[in-house]
Amino acid sequence: MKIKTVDLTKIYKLGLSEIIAINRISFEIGEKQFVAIVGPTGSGKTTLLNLIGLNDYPTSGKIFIDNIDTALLSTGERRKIRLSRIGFIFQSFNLLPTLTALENVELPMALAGKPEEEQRERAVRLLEAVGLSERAYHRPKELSMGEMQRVAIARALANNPEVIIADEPTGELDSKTAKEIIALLFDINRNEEKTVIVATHDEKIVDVADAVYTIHDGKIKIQS
Amino acid sequence: MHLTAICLRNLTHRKLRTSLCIFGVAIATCFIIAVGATTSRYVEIITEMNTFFRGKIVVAPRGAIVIQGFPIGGGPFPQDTTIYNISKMDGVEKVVPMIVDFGFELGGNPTIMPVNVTIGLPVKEMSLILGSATLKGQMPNSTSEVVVGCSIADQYGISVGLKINIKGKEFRVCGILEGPSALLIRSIIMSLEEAQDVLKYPMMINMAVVDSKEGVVQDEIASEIENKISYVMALTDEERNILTKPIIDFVESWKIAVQAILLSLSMVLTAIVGIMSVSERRRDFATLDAIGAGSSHIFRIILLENSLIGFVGSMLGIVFGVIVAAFLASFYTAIPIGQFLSSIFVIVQPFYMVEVMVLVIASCCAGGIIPAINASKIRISEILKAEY
Repeated sequence: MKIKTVDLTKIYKLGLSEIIAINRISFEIGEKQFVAIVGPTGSGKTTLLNLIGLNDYPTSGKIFIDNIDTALLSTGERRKIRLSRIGFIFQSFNLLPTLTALENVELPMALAGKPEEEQRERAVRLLEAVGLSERAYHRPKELSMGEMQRVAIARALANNPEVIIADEPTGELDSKTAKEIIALLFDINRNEEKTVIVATHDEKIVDVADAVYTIHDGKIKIQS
Repeated sequence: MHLTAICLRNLTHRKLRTSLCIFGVAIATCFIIAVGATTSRYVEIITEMNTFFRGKIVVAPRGAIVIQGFPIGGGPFPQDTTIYNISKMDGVEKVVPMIVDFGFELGGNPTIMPVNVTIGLPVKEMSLILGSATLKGQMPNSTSEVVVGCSIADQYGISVGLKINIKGKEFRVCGILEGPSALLIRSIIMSLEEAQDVLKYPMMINMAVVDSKEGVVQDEIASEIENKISYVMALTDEERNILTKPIIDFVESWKIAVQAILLSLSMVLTAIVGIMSVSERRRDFATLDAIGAGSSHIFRIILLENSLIGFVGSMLGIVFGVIVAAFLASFYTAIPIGQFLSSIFVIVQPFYMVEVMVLVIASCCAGGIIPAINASKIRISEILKAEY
C-alpha cells in the first residue's frame, strides 16, 4: 500500500484562535517501508498519523492511498480501509479493559465478520507470535505495560493489514521492553512485509528505519 | 468472539450501576403488570356481565348503577306486581325475576371488587345464568340446592354433595361452577325464594330479564315498561353497552396512561445510565472507531446492552408484578392471596406478560438511541488530542 500526501494541512480551532497542527506536508511512503516520524511533543506527529490512517479529515490538501484520493471515499469505505488494510498501535495501548487479551485480538476480526473459529485460531497464533500465549485469558489490568503493547500489536495484525501505524509505541515502556517492541515491529516489517509507520522519540527506532521524517511545528523539516 | 460478549462484559464490569438500572426497570415493569392486571380484571368482569343477557331486556330499579346486565344499588322492588305488569305487555314472551347481591360476604371487610356474589332466580330458569358455564355436578333441582363458584369452593373447601350453611340455612351443593366467567366463579347461585329469604328481601327482586317475542322491537317494549312502571328502568343491549362504555374507556385510559408514564421512565432511566456509561467509555468507543467499527456496530453494542437490561429488568418486574397483582386482588376482594397465586395466569394473562416484556425492552432500546448517537460520534483523534 502506497501512501502519498500533497499539501496536507490540519488546523484546529480553539475558540477564536487557530492552531496549525500540520502545515502543507507533502511526502510519500512506499510499500513495505519502515518509516519513522520524529519530532518533539506537540509537533503534529499524532495528527499526521491520524490523517494518513484515515481517522481524521484534513483541513486542506490530499491523501492518496494507492493513488486513490481518500477525500472521495465515503465514511464506510474509509472504515473498511481502517478495518482491513491498516493496523493501529497506540501509545496508551487502548485495549478494551473488559475483554481478555485473546478477545482484544479477536475484536477486529469480529468487526470484519470473520467466523468465530477463524478469529480464535488466528488470535491464538498472533498471541503466540508476540510471546503472550500464556497470558491469553488475562485482562489488560492483569498485564504489564509491555504485555499490553504486545497485545495491541497482535490486535493491529489481526486482519492482516498492509500498513501498521504506531503512535509512540514505546512511549510508556521501560528501555528493555521498548527494545523488544522495536524488534517486534522490525520483524513485522521485514518478515511479514508490512509497511510500518512509527511516530516516536526513540532513537533506537530511528536507527532501524528505512526513512525518517522529522516534523516540527507542523512542517516536515528534514528527510533522511 | 461475538458482540454480545462485549455487551455482557460491559454490563458485568459495572455491576452496581447495572443492578440499579435493572432494579429501576423491574420496578416500572412491576407496576405496569400490577396496574394492568387489576384494570384488566375490572374490564373483564364488566365486559362479561353483558354476555349473560344478550338479546334480552334487563329491568332494574331506577337510580341503580347498571354495569352491563347487573344493577348495583337502587334497592329492591316488588316481585309480583312488577312481573305481572311486564308479562301482560304486548310482545313480551317471558319475564324472569332475579335478585343479585354483590355485597353478600361470608366474612371480611367491604370491598370494591365482587367478593361473593349471590344470585337468586327461579329453579327452572337456572339455565339463564348457568347455560354457558362449565359446571361440575348439576343444576339445582330444588330450592335446597345451590351452585357455588369454584373460587369460593376452593377458598372454603366446598365440594359437590357437601351441605353448607348460609345465614342459618342449610343447602346442598349440587354443582361447582368452574368458569369461564370471573363473576360466576365468585358466585353462589340459589333459588329466588331462598335468596329472598337469605338476603331478607321477601317477595322483592332487584332485576328482571325480559324475553321479547320474535319480530318485536326491543326499544318499544323497553319504553313501554319504563312508561308504565315508574320505579324501574328497562335497558336493551345497546343501552347497557352505552352505559358501560365510559367506565371501560376510563379504566382503559388509566391503564394506558400509567403504562406510558412507566415506560417513559424506563426509557429515561436507561438513557441516563447509557449516557453516563458512554461518557466513561469514550476511549473504548474511540478505539473501536479507529480499528474500523462502524456506527452500526456501536449502535448494536449499546442497544444490545440496553435490551439485556430491559430483558432482565422486565423478567424480574413480571415476577414482582404478578405477586403485587395477586396482593392487590386479595386486598380488594378479601380472598386469600394464596388462591390468586395458584392461578397466576388468570390474574395476569401470559399474552399480557409477553406484551409488557416487549414494550419494556423496546423502551429500553429507545433509551439507548441517544447514548448510541453520542458514542458513534466519538473519534480517536479527539481523544488523543485531549490526552496529549
